[in-house]
This record gives sequence, C-alpha cells and structure tokens, in this order.
Amino acid sequence: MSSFKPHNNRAWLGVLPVVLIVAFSAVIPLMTVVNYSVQDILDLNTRFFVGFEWYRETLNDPRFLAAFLRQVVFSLTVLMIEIPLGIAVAKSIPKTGRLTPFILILLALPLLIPWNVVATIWQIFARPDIGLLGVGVNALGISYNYTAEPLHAWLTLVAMDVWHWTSLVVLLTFAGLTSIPLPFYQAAELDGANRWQLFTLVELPRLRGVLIIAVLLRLMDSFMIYTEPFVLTGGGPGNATTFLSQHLATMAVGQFDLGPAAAFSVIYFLFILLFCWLFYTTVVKRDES
Amino acid sequence: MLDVAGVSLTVDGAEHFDHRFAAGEITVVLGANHAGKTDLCRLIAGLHTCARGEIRLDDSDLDGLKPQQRSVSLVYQAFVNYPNLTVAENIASPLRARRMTAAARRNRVNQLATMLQIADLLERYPHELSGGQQQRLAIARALAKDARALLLDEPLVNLDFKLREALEYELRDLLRSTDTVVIYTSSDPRDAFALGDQVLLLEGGRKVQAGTPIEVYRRPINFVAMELLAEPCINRFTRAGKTCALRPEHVTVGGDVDAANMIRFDMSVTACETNGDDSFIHGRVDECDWVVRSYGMQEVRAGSLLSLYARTADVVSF
Repeated sequence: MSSFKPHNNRAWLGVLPVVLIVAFSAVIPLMTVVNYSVQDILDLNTRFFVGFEWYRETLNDPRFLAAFLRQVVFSLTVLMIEIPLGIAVAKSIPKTGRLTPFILILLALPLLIPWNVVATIWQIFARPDIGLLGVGVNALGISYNYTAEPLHAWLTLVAMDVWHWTSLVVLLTFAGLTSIPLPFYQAAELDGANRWQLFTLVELPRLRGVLIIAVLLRLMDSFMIYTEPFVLTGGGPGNATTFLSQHLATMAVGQFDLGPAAAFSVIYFLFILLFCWLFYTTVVKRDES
Repeated sequence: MLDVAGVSLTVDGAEHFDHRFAAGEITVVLGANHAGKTDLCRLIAGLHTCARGEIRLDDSDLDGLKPQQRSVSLVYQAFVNYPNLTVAENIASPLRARRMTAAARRNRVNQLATMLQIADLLERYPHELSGGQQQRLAIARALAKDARALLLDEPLVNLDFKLREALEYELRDLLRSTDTVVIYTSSDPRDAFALGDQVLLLEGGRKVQAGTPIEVYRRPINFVAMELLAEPCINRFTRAGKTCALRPEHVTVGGDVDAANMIRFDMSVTACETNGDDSFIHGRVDECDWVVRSYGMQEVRAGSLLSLYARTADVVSF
C-alpha cells in the first residue's frame, strides 16, 4: 500500500484515446465549421475574414426565420401527438401474455426501416393518383393532394412522422410501465383509486424518467429531420415543408455558400443544444426541489 | 372477527386453510418464504381470488367485493406511497376516495401523523423521507382507511435493525389500542414474541399450529411447528429409536454432569459465529447438524470437541 500515489500523471495517458476520438469525431469538425462561419470563401485560396457578418445575416434572413418557425411548429406538433399516443398505446398492451412479444416486434418494425424508405413508402402511399391513402381519401369525397396543398403536405408529413416514431415512445413507456412493482397498483386499488388516479398518481410519476428520455430523443430527432420531407415533398409545395436542415443543405451543397451555411450550422446546433438544455434543466430542477 | 374458511393458499389448490382471526388482537403469521403469507393477505384484501372457500369479516361475506369495497387495508414490505403527493396528501388519499370533508380530513391526518411521529414532515414528499419514515407514512395511510382488518405483510423487513426494533415496539402499542383484526406476517420468530397476541404457523399453504406464542413455544404439535419458532433451528437426535429435538437455547456448554435429569452430548465443532450478544456454535452430534446458543462472545475453534448438556425436561419428541 505504500507504493500508492494519490497523484499520478501517467493517468492522463488513459484519457488520451478518448480525447483523440472525441477530437476527430466532434471537436475538430465543429471548429472547422466555426472557422468557415467567420470567413467569406470565394474559392479555397481566396478567403476574407468577415467576423460575425454571416451570423447577423442569417439571423435577419426571412427564409431562415420562416424555416425555423416551421421547424418549431413541426417538432411541437409531432411531440404533442407522439407522446400521449405512445403512452396510450403502451398502456393498452397487456403486460404479460402470449401476444405481447409479437405486439412489441410489430411495433418495432417502423423503427427498423431506413428513413428514406419510410419516406418513399409514404410518398407512394399518399399519391392522389395511385396511392392507397390518396385514392382512398379522394374517393371519400375529400379533395386531397399533398403535392399541391401546403396543409395536405403538412398533414402527410406529421402522419408519417407519427407512424414512424410513435413506436419509440411506446417501447420506452412500455419498459417503464413493466418496471412498476405490483404492490403500487394494489395499494392504489385498495385506496379506491379510479383509473385516472391510478394513471396520474401511480404510473405517471414512475414514467417520468423514460418520458424525459422519449421527449428529448423525439425533440432532437424531429428538430433535425431531413430525409423524410426531402423525399416526400422536396420541401414543397413552395417552401411549405422546408425545414432547417433542408434549408441548410440547399445553402451548403446547392449554392456552395460555405460561410453563411457554416454560420447557419452553428446557430442550428446551438438552438438544439439550448432546447434540450432548457428542457432538461427545468425538469431535473423540479426533481431536486 | 375475520373468518377464513376452506381457502387454498397454494398454486395447485391442494391444501385447505381455515382460521379465525380475533378482533383487537395481533396475530403474527409466521412462515418461511412461499409458505403462503402474502397469498393469505392478498386473498383477504381481495387482490386475488380463490375459487373455493369463504372469507367473512364481522359476519359479512367478502366474496365478490372489490378491494376498495372491503374494509381491509394492507401495508407492504416495499414502501408504497404516492411519489408526487405530500405526506399529508398521502395519508389523506384513502379519505379522499370516501368523500370526507376537508376539515375532518385534516383532523384525521394530523391525528395519524402525530401517532406515527411524522407530524413535522407533512409538507414533504415521500422521496425526501428516510426508509423508516416512509414506512411510517405507509402505515398511517393504511390506518387512515379505518378498516376492520389491517394486514401488515412483513412491513419492517426492509428497515435496518435498530429502526425495526424501535418501530416494532411502537407498533405493538399502536395496534393493541384498536379493536381491529391485525394480521402481521413475518419469517422471524422474534416478531411473534415481540408483537403477537396470537401466532399462526404456516407451512406450504397449510396451517401448522395456532395459539399464543408462549403456548406454541412450550407445546409445539410437531417438529415443523418447533422449527418455525426456533432461532436459528432445532437440534435433532435419536434416543431409544425415537427422534427427539432440543431448542438451541436449551443446550448448555458444560454444567452439572452428574445430575440425574441431565443428558450429555458430544459435539465436534465445525464453526462458531457471534452476533455480539450470543454466540452460535455449529457442529455435529452423531449424524446431525447442531447449533448451540451460548451467552456472550465465545471463541471455540473448529475441530474441537465440546461436551453439551441439556435437561431431560427440555427434550421434545412426538
């Protein structure tokens, strides 16, 4: 025991692999983007330092603001549908039973499909000329055409996202529900609690942890949505379904505006970080008080 | 009075169980794990049903009544409270379901909280309480229902030793002052003596013996009954072709060899442990494993030979 040293600088070597991996996977790419965002790049050898010019420009760009607003509305909409729906579906799955494993596998299927395949499925499914959904809705006498009507495009996108991601909320919630010990239900039953009280007083408090994770995951993912609207609507009709990442891709890859696109990326990144941080701290603070 | 007749506590439904629990008395139901203690509680509470038999509480049949319609409350081994309700709201939860007025509810909550010494914690949440306080809260909640039968299913198992003892003595005074049927399940014989007006021994879903703890201790009807009230276990031996047994506390190391009413045993020691007050000397006598309880901290080396003595009057045989 006498050879034990409270400080041993060689321990830093143990951290080195992590530092290297994180540096190459996150820090260096991020700093490259930050570097681009303060320059005007005409070509690779002609660059000017422009300071915060691109940030000012991006934040005052009406197209950015419109895309941002759309993004927020979209994320909140899908969250408000997917979380309650997910909880409702999870609650209706029997906790034990021969069918439960099959139900869970069935529910997990949408999560396994590649994102642009999901979008392609819905793109065909909702087409008013040949798609089952499109033709079906029109046959009911409701005129429906997601490629022409912004509202229809939105409804289709939200429906697709709900179809694609509610399963995630269901699976998380179901895991949370099965971990609640039986005595908690029985005690409430003995107290004469009704179904709503059972849900709000027994289940919801114990689902808190998984629901925080579900909201965070869905918030981040829906805020970064790209593939699905790109394949389904291409951001249209007009700009009606152009969300932040698609707007960014148009700038960076389409127009090759590296400077503004970099500034955009940094702002985008900071917003997601801010959203998640705000959500997490308010929730965790309430836990601690 | 709670009358349980002809129910089955085993999965296969093979065994019948009958017992009459008296009001105003604490009945300690003693049994090993899976002896049917929890099943008995759940049957009485109506949390699961039995195809056979009947349960009558004060001469009304409980059959077909939902748990909340029965005048029964239950305290669990786990600390079961509502996490997002304060202590006061938790205690009031069974009262709320019964539509009591706010003032009456407040009175009752204060009275119960004072009784269980959590009156200064009324505004806190369960997760801000210690384990002992959480279980006090659960007991207060159970008492709030003012049920004719109170079931406590190993309520103190998850508490540490000191707290368990303190709460046990408090509980005895608290529960004896009511005229409800109190059923307290445990696997620890000490609980039977500390709390029980009556003790009911269970094994494999079967009632082994019932009576006052002293009665059952002095006159067990078989070795199973003797074993259930022994700490840690009984010592068997064969004498004149008959299986006999001695409780560990009735065997002494050394003693008056020549007395006519004493028997002598030779034990080869295999291990010795102590809990501070007593030492438990493990060893073999003839072909049987024995444990001897000896006062104070003893040091006996494994492999040594001990002479043990017991009074013939303490030998139990059937």
